[in-house]
Amino acid sequence: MMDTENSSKKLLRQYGILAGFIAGMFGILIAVIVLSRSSWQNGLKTAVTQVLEEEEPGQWIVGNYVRINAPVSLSAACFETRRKDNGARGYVLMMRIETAYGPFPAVFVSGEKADARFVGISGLHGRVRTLIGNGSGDAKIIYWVKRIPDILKNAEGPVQNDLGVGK
Amino acid sequence: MNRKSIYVYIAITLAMIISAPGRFACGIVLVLELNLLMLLGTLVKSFIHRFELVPVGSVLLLTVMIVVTMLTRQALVLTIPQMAVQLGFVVYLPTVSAFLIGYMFGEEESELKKTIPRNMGYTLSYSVFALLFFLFRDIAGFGTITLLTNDGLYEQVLFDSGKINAFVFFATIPGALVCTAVILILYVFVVNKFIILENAELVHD
Repeated sequence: MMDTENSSKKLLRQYGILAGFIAGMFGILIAVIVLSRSSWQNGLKTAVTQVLEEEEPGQWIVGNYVRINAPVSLSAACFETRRKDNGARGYVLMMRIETAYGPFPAVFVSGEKADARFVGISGLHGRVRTLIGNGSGDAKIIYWVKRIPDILKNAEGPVQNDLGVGK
Repeated sequence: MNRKSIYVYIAITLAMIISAPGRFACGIVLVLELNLLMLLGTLVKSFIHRFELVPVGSVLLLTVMIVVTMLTRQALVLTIPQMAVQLGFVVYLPTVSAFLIGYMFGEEESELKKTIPRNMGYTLSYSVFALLFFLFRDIAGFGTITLLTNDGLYEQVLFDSGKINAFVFFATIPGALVCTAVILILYVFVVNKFIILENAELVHD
């Protein structure tokens, strides 16, 4: 009787510690995720703006973060964008693409009706960037260019005017 | 180099190094993560034995490793979000690599004073190799050097003649595979030569 009681107490203690540990760990994790949400949006907006300025200087204004209701949003970020010359609005996306050189954060611009267009890669300059060029020779970039209009159908916040990219 | 360590080398290299972009900055992040996981994993394992939590130990250890991995990703989101996008699932690969699983779950428990230096010795020696590998691919393949700074990612272009260079091969995934195989062959060759020399000395004595 005493042995069973001791054994039960021991088990209760072990699983209590386990439950407390798991709850504590996930509590910390949730807090960090909530705190880092704005960093994700602001940091990627800066990175996207930098790529647009390097590749097509003075042509774009990057706007608000746009939420995408699709699994791809875990490794992608979307922002509203507007051309400075004609005011046409659209989206700019940064997404993880697999290339022959490994994964890279690629930047695309897209209007609502037009095809998407590859702009550049964040944090990549030099000869590999030169080899990738406008992405027309890279099968993965071509795949994402075709796929992005479908992804943008799940974007929250419709774009009224088309950018006319990819036409 | 025994057979187990060769298998561990191949497994972790395929998991952690080949799938990651060959940039030095990415290497630093992955190596830091691997060392953090090994250190915390060893401490938690010791805690489990000290407080007699062995029946729930595996779940506890796995929880810590998963949370540390996710916190590493969130740390990237806070500091260099574009690298968090770039690395994606690669951040989770050191956790599930044979390296950690092999040493975390495969070793007999001994004193913390012994396990910490031993486990960290394995990780740090592999870290040196991994960092040199990432550095070589960054410089030779990409013609750049990337570092982590207070402002985020720093990239300096070292070589860019504007022409296609044969060294670009090392920036590609097949290039990384070839590099790994060549290093492994060289390492095994050198170690075997030392074993032959040692045996010859023993026979001579």
